[in-house]
Amino acid sequence: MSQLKLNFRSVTTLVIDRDRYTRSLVGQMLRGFGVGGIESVDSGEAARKYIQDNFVDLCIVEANLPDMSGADFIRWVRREQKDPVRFMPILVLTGYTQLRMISAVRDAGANIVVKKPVSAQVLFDRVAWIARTPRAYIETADYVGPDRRFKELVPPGGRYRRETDAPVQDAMAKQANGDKA
Amino acid sequence: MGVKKVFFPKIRLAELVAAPGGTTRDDAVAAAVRNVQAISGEGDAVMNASIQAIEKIVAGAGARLDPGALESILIHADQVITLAGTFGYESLDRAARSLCDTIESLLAVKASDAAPVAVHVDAMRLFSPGKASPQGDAAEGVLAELARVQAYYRSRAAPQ
Repeated sequence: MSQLKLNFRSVTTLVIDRDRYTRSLVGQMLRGFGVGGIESVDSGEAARKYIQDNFVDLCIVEANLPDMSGADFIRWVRREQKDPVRFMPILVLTGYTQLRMISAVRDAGANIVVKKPVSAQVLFDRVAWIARTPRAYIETADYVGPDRRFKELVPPGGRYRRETDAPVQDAMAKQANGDKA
Repeated sequence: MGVKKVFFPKIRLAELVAAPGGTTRDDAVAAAVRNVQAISGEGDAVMNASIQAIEKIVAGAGARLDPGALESILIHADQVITLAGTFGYESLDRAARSLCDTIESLLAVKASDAAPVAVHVDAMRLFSPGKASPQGDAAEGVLAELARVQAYYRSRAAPQ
């Protein structure tokens, strides 16, 4: 059976991480996927400036930026930007010591949370999942972002083809979207 | 209850990836792995620099590490975990995770002992890239000692 092809050539990605080498590592993976536009910055403030002047199709951000939390950055995108920027897909990378931040970035409106170290396989599968899976957005007084109760349908037989196909359960909210975040 | 709006916004990423052409998952991942391997040497240097930065903090602290120093160590150790996991340094990865868990316990009880941090950093140096690191049982022996240290501080941090 032939595999589905994804075309990342016209996609612009913004990578936000305090560490230069981590930005380079993620950039090399994205280059391998064929992503045509890869920009990287080292702080939330630099990311804000970039987003105000440029259109970004996908944002990959670490959970704990040097000048603000990843959650604050995501809230700024979801609350203060106009359409379509505020619906920009946001993938959050968390370090080992940042796992406590998972619920904070999820409740700020992240599309998906991925634990570091991230492999090329996992990054590809997560980005492909974000790109190919239609997902409702919710807007309430407390929350703007993708539906946190979203559940991916399990394939027939209940088995994923690969372990990495399964979504990160930590990133899935159990509470209703109308509840206080 | 407030107003709740549910909608499906147009996501440009979804439209772009569906354009004709592109690459399969296997080809994309293989190219990405090659690209990452090409910069693995620099990754080794970054890991060694992070360990060195932790060593410097510990050496300058004496017997006590204040919470600010412990938080700084966590940032460097997190970097080591990320890269050790990426490039397959399993023992270094485990030693760095044990260091982070130990520091979390120290912070939880507002303790400032430098000794448990120092012993972890020595182990991380032992397992660092470019070193003739212990293998097999010898490595497990070192990691078991770290686990004992971590368990001691975790028990102190656990609610009584």
